[in-house]
Amino acid sequence: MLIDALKIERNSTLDTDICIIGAGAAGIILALEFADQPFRVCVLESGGLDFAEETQSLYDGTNIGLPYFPLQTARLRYFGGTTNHWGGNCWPFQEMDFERCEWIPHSGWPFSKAVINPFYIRAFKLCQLQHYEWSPAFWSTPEEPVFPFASDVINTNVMQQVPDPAKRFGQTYRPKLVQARNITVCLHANVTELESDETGRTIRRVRVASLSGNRFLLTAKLFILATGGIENARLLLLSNKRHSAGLGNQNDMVGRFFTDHAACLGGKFQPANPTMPVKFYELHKVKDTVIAGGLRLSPDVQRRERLVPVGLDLVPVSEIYTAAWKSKGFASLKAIVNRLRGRYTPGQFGEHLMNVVRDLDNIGVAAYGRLRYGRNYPLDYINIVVVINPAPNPDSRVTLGTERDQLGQRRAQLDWRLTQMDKYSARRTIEILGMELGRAGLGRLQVIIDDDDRTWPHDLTGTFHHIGTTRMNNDPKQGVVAKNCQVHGVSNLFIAGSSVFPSAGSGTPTFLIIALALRLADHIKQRFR
Amino acid sequence: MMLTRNSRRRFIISLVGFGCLALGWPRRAWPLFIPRKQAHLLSSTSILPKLLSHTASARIVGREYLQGARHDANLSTFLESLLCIAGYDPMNHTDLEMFRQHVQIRIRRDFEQARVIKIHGWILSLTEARLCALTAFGLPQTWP
Repeated sequence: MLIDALKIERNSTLDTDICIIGAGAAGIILALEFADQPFRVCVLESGGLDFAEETQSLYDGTNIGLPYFPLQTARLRYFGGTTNHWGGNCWPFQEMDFERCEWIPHSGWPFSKAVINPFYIRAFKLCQLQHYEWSPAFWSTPEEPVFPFASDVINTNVMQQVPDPAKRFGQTYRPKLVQARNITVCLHANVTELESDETGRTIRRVRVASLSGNRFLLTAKLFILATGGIENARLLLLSNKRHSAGLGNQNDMVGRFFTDHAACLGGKFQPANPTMPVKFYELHKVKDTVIAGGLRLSPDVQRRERLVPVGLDLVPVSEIYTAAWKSKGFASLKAIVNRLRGRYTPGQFGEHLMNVVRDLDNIGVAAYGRLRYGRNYPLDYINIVVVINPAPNPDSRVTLGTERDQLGQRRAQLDWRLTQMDKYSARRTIEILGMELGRAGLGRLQVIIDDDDRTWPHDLTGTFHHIGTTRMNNDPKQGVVAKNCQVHGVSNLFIAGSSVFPSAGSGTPTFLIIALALRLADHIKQRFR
Repeated sequence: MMLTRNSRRRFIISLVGFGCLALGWPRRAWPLFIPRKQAHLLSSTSILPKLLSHTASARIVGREYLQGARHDANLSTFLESLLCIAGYDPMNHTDLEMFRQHVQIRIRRDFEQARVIKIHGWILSLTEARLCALTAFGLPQTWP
């Protein structure tokens, strides 16, 4: 059932068995798993079925740390959450991501990769992907080979992309959730506080407000917070009536260890052969699946060098053709062709047509490049983008700012920080890649990232992955949730999403969010049996 | 065999020329090191391009290397060892291919054993950097 908070009687109290707060990747997968189970479920979603500026602005906040995206642009606040613009990239975390690495403070999960593997397989099916295969040998072809390195110092990994529209969870799974007899999805319902009993060990109800001014309460036996890596922490910190520091924050852990995969240009690779095949490392379709390869150090080398994991993305550049293909005119030409083929493309037809006319020179260059070289255009160089999986850092954190949102709630304040180890690891990884490329006779690499580990380049960027603010650790002094995702010290409050990851890891977060949501769903179903 | 001044020059040119060719770098890599105009100027006043594809660039890399390793005592013995191992006879053209292959192997081994140097961020093998260094102090600004 789908209802709107606007239509709920003001100041009334509703009741359910399980309350899921947030209908993004984690919330939707949990609800899907609970469909037609012998208990009632209510999903509270802040937004509606479509994007709305006013709701989105509830995400606004301040940033006092490293340069970061404006917080209201870093995620989406409507049914489906950030899956509404998710790229759909899936690659599992690796064994080493779960291990405690003695050179990386606060590293390690409370369980091994083996525990999550079965859930990854289930997540994979939910994502409607076909081949649970991550080996480059399975995906490479004679036309699109992997780089022939001379050793196993550098590993090639494969990322698979969830097809459209499967990756839009709101769109894909709404019919099933609406039809489920035990599930109520309540839109425009903003949870402003989780209220506990006198002991503070059990959540009794949540306070709900809509932007139009409606207010009501929802009681439940069990609550699951699934509002994303920043909002999960914010909501716990805002729930401070019983505990002034916030719910689950008895050890000052909520909001700490915020992290995101940090990316910047790490190097430029000059191939010895300008027609070297590099398409394996770009998005391309193989076996009916869109994939792309990436590079990284082998776990053994990472251990020997005592580095944090760093992914290496390859961005081939053909100065003339890349500029032409990225031009506004060529993009508009593609949009027009797509529209003529009956595919949806954003933007106005007339505007696209004008762009084409204005940009005929670029279109000419692009067309010539495509006709003459197809996909094997001559390379000028390949940019190597480093994607750093930063060391967990307690000083990198989300707190409550002084500004308030439209509901009177204090906004989030982000202080994103990285460590010298992160910068060193990025540079060292690039250097090792340079040596391996030289060793294999593939070409030479220029390290772009500088030697000063205390500073960061201007092109440093996050990747919209909000991780770690309610991290998982069996020790309440080291984490906010236990290994079953239950908040330490609160018997009926669970957290889903990337905020429970103890570290950024080398895999893609949404894929693990889904796997962890499935695991949590199993745990809760067991509890209600 | 004693080398005359001229034959010595020719010898060094050959060495660096084939050494640089042995690096297997594409032409388009070199202009990254130096401004295009400067390369063109040097090229037009020199006979070197006939023998060396990228003498000017090699020289710049070589100078950078020498600045960072002023007291590189190995440089003088480097040349000797390189030739000795390669068994290179400058008068025998069939040896040149063997020599080129030898340099290639040596460069790859450098990378394998982390005998590398960073010049303007480029990760170069010590062998190739030293070959460039030989160009830097082995050749006059203009030729002849």
